[in-house]
Amino acid sequence: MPTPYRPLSDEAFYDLVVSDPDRAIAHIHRALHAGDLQGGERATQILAFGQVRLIKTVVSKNVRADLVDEVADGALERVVAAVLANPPELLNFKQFCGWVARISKCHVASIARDKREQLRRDAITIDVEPSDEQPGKRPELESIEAGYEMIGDLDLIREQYDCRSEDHRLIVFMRVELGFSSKEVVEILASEYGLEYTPNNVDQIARRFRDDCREARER
Amino acid sequence: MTTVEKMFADFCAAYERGEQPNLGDCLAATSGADRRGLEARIDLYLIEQAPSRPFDADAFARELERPVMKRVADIFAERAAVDLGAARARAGLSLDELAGALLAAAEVEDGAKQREKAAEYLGRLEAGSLAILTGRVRDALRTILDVDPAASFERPDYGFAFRMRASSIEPSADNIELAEMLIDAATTPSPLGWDEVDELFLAND
Repeated sequence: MPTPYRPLSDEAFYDLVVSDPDRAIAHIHRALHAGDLQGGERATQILAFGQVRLIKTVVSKNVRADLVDEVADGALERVVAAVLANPPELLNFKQFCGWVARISKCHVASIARDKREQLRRDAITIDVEPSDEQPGKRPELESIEAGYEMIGDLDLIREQYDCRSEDHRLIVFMRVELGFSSKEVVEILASEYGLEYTPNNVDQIARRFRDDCREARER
Repeated sequence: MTTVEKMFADFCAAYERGEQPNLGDCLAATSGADRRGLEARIDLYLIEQAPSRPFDADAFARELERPVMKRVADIFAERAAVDLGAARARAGLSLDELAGALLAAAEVEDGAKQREKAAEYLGRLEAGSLAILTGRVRDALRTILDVDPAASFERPDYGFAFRMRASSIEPSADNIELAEMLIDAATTPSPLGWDEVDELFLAND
């Protein structure tokens, strides 16, 4: 027989999270089912408030100091969504903290993964020049901040890209962004666009683009 | 006291004073085995040993000013909008009354026994512990409560993976879903005296 819902004071609910997190989460769900949306919202905020410091500390391991708050807020939102979704049974506060820490770590890892993917799609690396023998190797982003730093280069890369002719943009896009080999680019240009270039031409155009980007960055 | 021990002690002291020590900065001063050891000790400390702090009403009031707390409230409101129990509360129905309406909508006989059984199934559906959501129940509840009960049926993102962490295996999302289904199937007892209500709630359609 489930315990009937009874509103709790802020302090009592905070203490309940520490003494019995499973019951605290059940309390939030009971508030939902009892239609006490104000009480449930407040309890959810208190639960979140109690985890802010743990989340920020966990996040600060892999995130640049000025990004900790932003990333930790995202992790906190995930924790709250998981609490409301129907979380696993949590026997004690240690398990609850372990669960919160795990969600936070997953959040940081997912941001780093998303940034890598975003960069793979959007960014054009200007420090790595692939050869036909050795396909383009993109710098590994070991941490979330590396992703943020690279995004800073995007504007100047786009600027350099935009000031090229249409044919050269196409070549830069295929050779530098998509990582096609010079021979493949030549074949695509000939078959799809009726343009005649040699692999050397393609490499020169790509190299000039990278050099211009580097110069622009140094300026 | 070694340097690493002092760093660990300094970290714990700062945390217990209510400060927000930066773990990255702390670990940056070490390398190799020292770093791994310090990292493991701090992880353990944060999860199992750090003393909890008493409720601070002023700090909570300040925290409520931050935009993230507004988003926390929004997440709760979004959940309330789709939660089956909350929808039932909005409709002003008890579980028993909802069971009656559901049986009528599904054209199943509404006797006392059937209604009691249906109410029990609905309670499990609200609690997220029912292993299956049939199309007939879903359609009927949509009509009665104007909410899709599938939201109350979803599994947490971090439930199963969390329980598996001891094995250091990171299961893929597909595997988690399959495992959840198997666990649900294995732990759901077959009802005795299978009848139309069981058919309504448990039979694939």
